[in-house]
Amino acid sequence: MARDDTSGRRRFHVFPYLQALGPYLRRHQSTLIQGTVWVLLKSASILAVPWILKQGIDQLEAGAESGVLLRYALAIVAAAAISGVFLYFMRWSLIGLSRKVEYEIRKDFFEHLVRLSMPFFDRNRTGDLMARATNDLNAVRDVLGPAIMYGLNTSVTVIASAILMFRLDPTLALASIAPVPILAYAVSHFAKRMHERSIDVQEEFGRLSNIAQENLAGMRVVQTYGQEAAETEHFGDSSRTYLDRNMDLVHYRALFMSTTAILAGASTLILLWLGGTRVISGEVTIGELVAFIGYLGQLTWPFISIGWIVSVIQRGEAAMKRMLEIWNTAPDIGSGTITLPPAASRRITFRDVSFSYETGPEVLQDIRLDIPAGTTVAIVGRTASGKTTLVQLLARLQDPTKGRIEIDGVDSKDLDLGHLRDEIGIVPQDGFLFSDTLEANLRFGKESATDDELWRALELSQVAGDVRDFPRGMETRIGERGITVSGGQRQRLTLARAILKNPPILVLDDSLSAVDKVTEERLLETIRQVRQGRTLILIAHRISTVRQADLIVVLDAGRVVESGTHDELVARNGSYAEMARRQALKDVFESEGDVDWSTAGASAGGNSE
Amino acid sequence: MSKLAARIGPTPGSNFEDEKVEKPKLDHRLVRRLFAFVGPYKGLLGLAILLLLLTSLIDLAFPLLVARGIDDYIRPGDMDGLVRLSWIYLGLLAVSYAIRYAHLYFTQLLGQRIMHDMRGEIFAHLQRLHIGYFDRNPVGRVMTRLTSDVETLNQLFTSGIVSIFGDVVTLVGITFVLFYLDVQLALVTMTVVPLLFISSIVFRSKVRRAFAEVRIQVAKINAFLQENLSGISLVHLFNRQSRHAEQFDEHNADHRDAYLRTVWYYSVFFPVVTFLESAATALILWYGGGRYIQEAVTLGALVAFIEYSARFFRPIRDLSERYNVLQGAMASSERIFELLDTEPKIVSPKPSEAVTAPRSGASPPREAATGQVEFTDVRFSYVPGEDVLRGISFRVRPGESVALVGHTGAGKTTITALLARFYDVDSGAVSIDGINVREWDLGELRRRIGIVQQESFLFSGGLTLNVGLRSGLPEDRVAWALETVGADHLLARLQSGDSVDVGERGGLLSAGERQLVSFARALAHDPPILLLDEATANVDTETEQRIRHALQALLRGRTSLVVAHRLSTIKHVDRILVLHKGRLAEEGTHEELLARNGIYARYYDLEYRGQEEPVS
Repeated sequence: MARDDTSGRRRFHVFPYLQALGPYLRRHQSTLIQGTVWVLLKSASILAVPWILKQGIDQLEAGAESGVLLRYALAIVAAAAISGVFLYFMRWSLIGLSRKVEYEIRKDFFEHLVRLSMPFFDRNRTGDLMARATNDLNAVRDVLGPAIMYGLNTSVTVIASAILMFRLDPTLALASIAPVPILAYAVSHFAKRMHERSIDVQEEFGRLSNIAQENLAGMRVVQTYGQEAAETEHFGDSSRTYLDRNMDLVHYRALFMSTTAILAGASTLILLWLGGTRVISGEVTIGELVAFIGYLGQLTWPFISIGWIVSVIQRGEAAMKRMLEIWNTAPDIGSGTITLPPAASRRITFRDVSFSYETGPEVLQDIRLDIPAGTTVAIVGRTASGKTTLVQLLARLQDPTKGRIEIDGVDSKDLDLGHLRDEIGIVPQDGFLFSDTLEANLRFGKESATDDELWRALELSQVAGDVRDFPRGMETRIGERGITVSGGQRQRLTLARAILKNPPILVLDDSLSAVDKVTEERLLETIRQVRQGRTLILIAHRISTVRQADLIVVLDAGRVVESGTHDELVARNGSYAEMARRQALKDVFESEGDVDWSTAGASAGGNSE
Repeated sequence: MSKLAARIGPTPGSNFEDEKVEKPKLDHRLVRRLFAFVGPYKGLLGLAILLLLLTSLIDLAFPLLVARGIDDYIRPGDMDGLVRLSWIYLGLLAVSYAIRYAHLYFTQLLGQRIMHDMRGEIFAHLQRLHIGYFDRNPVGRVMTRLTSDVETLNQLFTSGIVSIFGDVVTLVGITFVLFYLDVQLALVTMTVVPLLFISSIVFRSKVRRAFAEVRIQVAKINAFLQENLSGISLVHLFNRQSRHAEQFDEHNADHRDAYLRTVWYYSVFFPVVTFLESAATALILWYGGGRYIQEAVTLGALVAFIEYSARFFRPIRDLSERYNVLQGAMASSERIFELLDTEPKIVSPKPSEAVTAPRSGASPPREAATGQVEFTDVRFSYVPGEDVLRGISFRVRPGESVALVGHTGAGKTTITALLARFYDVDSGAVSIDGINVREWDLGELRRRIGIVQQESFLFSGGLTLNVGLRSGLPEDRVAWALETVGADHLLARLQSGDSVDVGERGGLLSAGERQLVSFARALAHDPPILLLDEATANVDTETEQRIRHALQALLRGRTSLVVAHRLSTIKHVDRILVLHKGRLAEEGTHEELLARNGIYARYYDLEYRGQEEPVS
């Protein structure tokens, strides 16, 4: 949407951003035309009321009877009823239109968003994206609905009333519309001032919130150093400034509102004086004077809404601009075209792979790694040594800044992206599950899975018993009130999800950290059996987890510092050996706990969770 | 503008957090407390109401003037009279302009002043609250009380109470004028009112239910968005993009349909109102016309009737919106008072009983009795039943440095928090200079304590602010402190007239610099007791050196409790306390504990060995 015109010429647009709505409005062209017709019809019928009133009053002056008046009264009721029907259609079609277009935009927006790649989500915070999909979209919708409707309504009513009034008496019409330019000036003048002042108010509000926010976050410092009174005074000063800024705004808003409020009065005054004079001189009937007053009444509202319409459009422009920033972002990670022939396992080769985020040091440096099909490889290293990044590169959540990754000898960038990800299963550490039923979450792995397959995956992941204990079993919704799924359960459920997928490459990214050691060993044993002959990558902290791997790779600060089997690495007496030794020590220490060192004998509480 | 917003209808969903469905009622107690805030501004309130009364009355006069003009001057053909009347009209118009402006201005002034007071009171109350409160209530939630809840409450005073008062005046005034003009015609015209009233009420209840549904749908969409954005990598890994777009589409369509229902109600309600207004006009023409023929009313009166009836409808139509405003304000005030009613759990004893040993000058010579710390069989838990400290006893002599060593969750930081009386012990006693911390005046107690947190907390602003804090220390003392901790380059920048802004949370400084600043802060305030939670963040060797020197300057001559993560610190303190599972497992000097070959020796091996370096 809203890519540059093909014409090549830069055209000037009144609404450079909102014009992006063009395609959506074109799709609803007929509704828009209908809406316009309803506006015209509604205005025509409601403007008939002052006209009928004029006839009635002139008749009254001429000495008409009650029966005649009844006819006029009924005519008014009829005109009002008809206009009511048109008003209904007008609102329903035009405001309804805005809701439908809002739906379409949000739909397209989400579809676009969900296809953007990870680097984009690293750059943009969730809260900000949410705000664009909600608040900004609401602002745009207000342009589509109310602004278009009131805009049309105002133009039609003003033009029609003007014509009718000129037909009755041009002099009087001109005179009574004389205050309009003043209004237009006042609206633009005050609107500008109000806009400036409200920016000041927003800024001061930002300062005020910031003071409070910092104070609350630093409460320990505040209370320890006895700063309560000084902080309160400081906050009070800012609060006071905020008050003053608000009153600056109030001043202009009050001027604006008073001006618009007396405008109708000024026109009425002109009518009373000039109109009265013309009635006395016989140029205008008293009925016509009453009709004029009626028309003015119809005009007051549209005039007041002009300022509002302008501000809605301004806000809509700003909001649309923010939405387009996202809309015009293309996915950083594109798809290739190659699809590999089906195979039970895959060979993975990292060729001099380096990676860094846009700003910042290299997270991975010259990684050279060959993982033959069907082998188990363990990657160990300290926090932030680049283990998870390695996995992200493999699944092309990120692309390397240098080097390439091959799957069965094909550069992963040349592979169809969906196909590549079908070939890889990753069990992440956080055990992320979506707020859906357990079954739906499991079927992420394999949409067509049978019940037996589902339960088998749960059994293998040692979580089937837990699921049976849930009140609604497989139908239990994650995140439902009263249902708590522990970290360990989550990890085992996400494992089941991956087992169900049964991809040629399986990655466990520290995914058993929240299950106890005994269960972990059993799970690893099961995985080894199930994954016989398939590629398995284990990222882990516990030596016990990685001990049996065909190859252990030690990462440190983004580099491979050691690799080999457990025995080879221990014999080498490098950082892996050091890690193994420390861990053994820690294990002993944690398991002994209270027993050895507690001064007052054993206390309550077990040794392991 | 507010009127227009009311016509278009509220747009719920813009604030989707805190969406409690329960409906607060107009609680008398709540209202009385709210009005306590009006107290100081009774005069202003009176003025606002008086001005409103005047605008309402003047507005009522205009149609009457037109009626008089038609009846007394235009129809009889009295030019002079008409001109005179026009002048009166113009005069009234000018007066009404001024009064309306004044009314709008002073009403807002009233609201703004009350908000200012309220913010001040909430903020001051927050300063008194115990730290435990902030553990349970995230900053964001507390901020909402202080900002948006207070803003909402403003509407109660400005568009709520004052406007309702204005509406009542208008309604009563118009009724009065209509009956004055012609009783029969007034009665006939009023027959439309019950219809309008009923349709308003029906509309209100329908649309409220529709909006409740909208809120649910908005919440669903937001939850779905939130979840998919945070779990986006999984969506990609499992190739779920299209499927999730489909799921989103379902929520999106439900959301649209819920909104369309509200649009439909508005589409029906507005025509009904317009129709009823015109029906009143028709009634006046028909029945009033008859009365005119009978010469019971004048033509001018008829015109006035038409004008008045239109004005009569507006307040009735807006009733539902006013009710919403009131409800919102009540909900906000309930939340605000809940905060104000939270009693601080940690308070000073009564002034007569509080210990307030005179504070020795800015940089006093350390008296022998200053800075003795004692824990006697202290038990403490954050959550009942989950003890963090299970009977800790130790004593720190004045001027002694003691390191606290132990596993994560062993209770090291808790000990420092209990000493500063951020929390009260469950049993046992904490005392300073032989006096239980509960008996100390809280301000006096904390004046004796300096704190350096693991994550150095800095305020956005300059160095003088961050070292001297808001209550302000002399510039030269700040400079001295910065110099003593070795923050030379920061000091140089400060002295070269550069107003160093450390940024939000000190983000413009490095982790090491932040720590030096918080060291300088503690040093400048010169407390006899220092609580220091060492930072675990990695810093470069040069900064590490600086920090080590600064630490020595800081500890010199002071009683200190240091939560130690560094070998260098452990080796330089007088004594080490080893905590294990909420108990004191071992204590002694580094060498003694190593020789004992117990829990500390193993810790040392595990935690600090990597840091080993040639130490003198």
